[in-house]
Amino acid sequence: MEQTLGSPSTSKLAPAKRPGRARRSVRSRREAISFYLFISPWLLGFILLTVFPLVLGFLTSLSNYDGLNLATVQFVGPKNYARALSKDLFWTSLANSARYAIIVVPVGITLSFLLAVMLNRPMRGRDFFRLIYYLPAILPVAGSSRVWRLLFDPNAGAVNALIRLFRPGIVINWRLNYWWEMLYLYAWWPAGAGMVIFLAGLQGIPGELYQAAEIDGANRFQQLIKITLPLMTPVVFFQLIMGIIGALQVMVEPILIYGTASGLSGRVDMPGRMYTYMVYTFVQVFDFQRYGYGVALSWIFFVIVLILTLIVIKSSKYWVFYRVSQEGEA
Amino acid sequence: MSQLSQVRPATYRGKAAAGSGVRFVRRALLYVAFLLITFLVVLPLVWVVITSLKTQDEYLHPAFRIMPEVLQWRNYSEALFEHSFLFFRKTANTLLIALPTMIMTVISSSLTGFGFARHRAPLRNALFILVLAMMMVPAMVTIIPQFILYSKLGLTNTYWPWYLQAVAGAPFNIFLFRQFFSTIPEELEEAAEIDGSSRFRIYWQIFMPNALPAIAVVSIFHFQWAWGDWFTPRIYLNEEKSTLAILLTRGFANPKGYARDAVTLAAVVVYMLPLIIMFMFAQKLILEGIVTTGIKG
Repeated sequence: MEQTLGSPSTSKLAPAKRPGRARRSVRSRREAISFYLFISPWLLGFILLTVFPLVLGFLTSLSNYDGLNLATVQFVGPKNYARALSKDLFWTSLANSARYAIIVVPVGITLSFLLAVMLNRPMRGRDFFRLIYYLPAILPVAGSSRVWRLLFDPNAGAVNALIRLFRPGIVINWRLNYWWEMLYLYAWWPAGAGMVIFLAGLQGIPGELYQAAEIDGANRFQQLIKITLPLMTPVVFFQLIMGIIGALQVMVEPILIYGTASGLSGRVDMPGRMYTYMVYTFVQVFDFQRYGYGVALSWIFFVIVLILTLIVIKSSKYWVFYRVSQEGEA
Repeated sequence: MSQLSQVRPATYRGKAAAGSGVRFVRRALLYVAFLLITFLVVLPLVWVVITSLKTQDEYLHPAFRIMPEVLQWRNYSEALFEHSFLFFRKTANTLLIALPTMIMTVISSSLTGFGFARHRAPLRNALFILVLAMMMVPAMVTIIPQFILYSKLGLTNTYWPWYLQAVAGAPFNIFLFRQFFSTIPEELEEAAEIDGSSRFRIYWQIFMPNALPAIAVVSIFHFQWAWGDWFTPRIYLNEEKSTLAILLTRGFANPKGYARDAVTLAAVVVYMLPLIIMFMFAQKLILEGIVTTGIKG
């Protein structure tokens, strides 16, 4: 009975309700129209600047287009894709990106998490430390990459200066010999950005949980492992997905940190063995105008990222802890 | 008892009597750790400021001296006012990109965000998932064909690629506005509807004035991006129209072609300063924005 009262389609009440229903459908149509009007800037942009280029790009990847002459464009089928798989540099750069992501993402998340846990308790100077740790995240890459090159400069760099305090006369050429370490450290410099997100998550953990654990005699470490960590897994999950997608795409950082000052005016000047996948793509497209090949590279990458993301999402049911009442996620 | 123990929350006081020595040591160690991390985080920035005050000779031959003999403030005046005012010309170019696109992206992203937050319509949820999914698509997949398109349209070496993209809004900003608009109470909207206001008026006169924090966050994030972006100017612009990011990655050279590294570093410091100042003033907003979207700046 209660249900039928509220339902407009009850036969007994139907005649009386009809005008209201008509009015409602007019209203809902109006609402739909105004919805589409409001989202039209995005929708138009999405169709013209995303969907259309995606289709165009895919067609380009099946052609030998070089950006110059449309008359000589030929359909070459999956040749660009086959060519990619046969190139050593393709595999080298893919392996480099994978290596970078495998190291940078887990360590970065761990650092952010530890910083957040350390800074979560009330203490003097907490806001100051938070602010300082977050600071590197706002620096523009063109500036911070310069800062990094200076820091590791063989002569003028602070790292070598520090080392020379203990081992006088030593000159380490980081850019040549410890290239990866330089890039990892650069990626972890703004670990405070992840910290901020974890801190927000930590604020959401009810204090009673810890009080109860304390009464049960759990020490700090046990509380961290049994309460904090499980409750933070949704945040870790999100960070992991965005982190992997971001890290695999690393491109500007290696170009700018490795690139010599003179070379930056023109083409990318780093040895192929240091290419990340996106650096390889960048060089093929913007230095050699191999558009068809470049788009093919980007689509291969897209598929890889998609598969990885799906794996992480599928795996989440084994390790991500979802609370029954999800009031607010981070 | 030291000062440190006074900040301890009241609940711990009972235990403190038992192991106050251990606690004090633990707390002191924690502070040492924080200061050490602070040193590591700040060192690169301090070092760039110190080095920007050296002569080119000191830069090339440090002779294990950390501080410059005489602080070379003239590096800053050279970076800003010599080299035919390159720094200011590139700043003007950068602002020509950053400011109009900032306004455009705020307007289009807020319109779209309002659409998603405050309307029911067929396909609404599917479209919103599409917005979010676009954040996961690798940028290169769309950038290369966009580049081909803009080249064919003769729009390279103009700022149109930025302007057109800004009119379309950005997924991240749309998401932020949608989240914000969803929190505004329905009564406000209903009252205006009874008065017969149009949807657009409700958006413009009720929602936007109430969305100043979201507008500020989106503006700041967008400005940070446009100011720092190296990739887009690198592929679209030639020397004359290029931006600060491009100038600084190349650096200054004297007429003979020798690099003026310390001067370039002075310019780098000036280049990063607006973003640092902006952060200091708007840190609360920025950090809230990061938390809302879960994406680091």
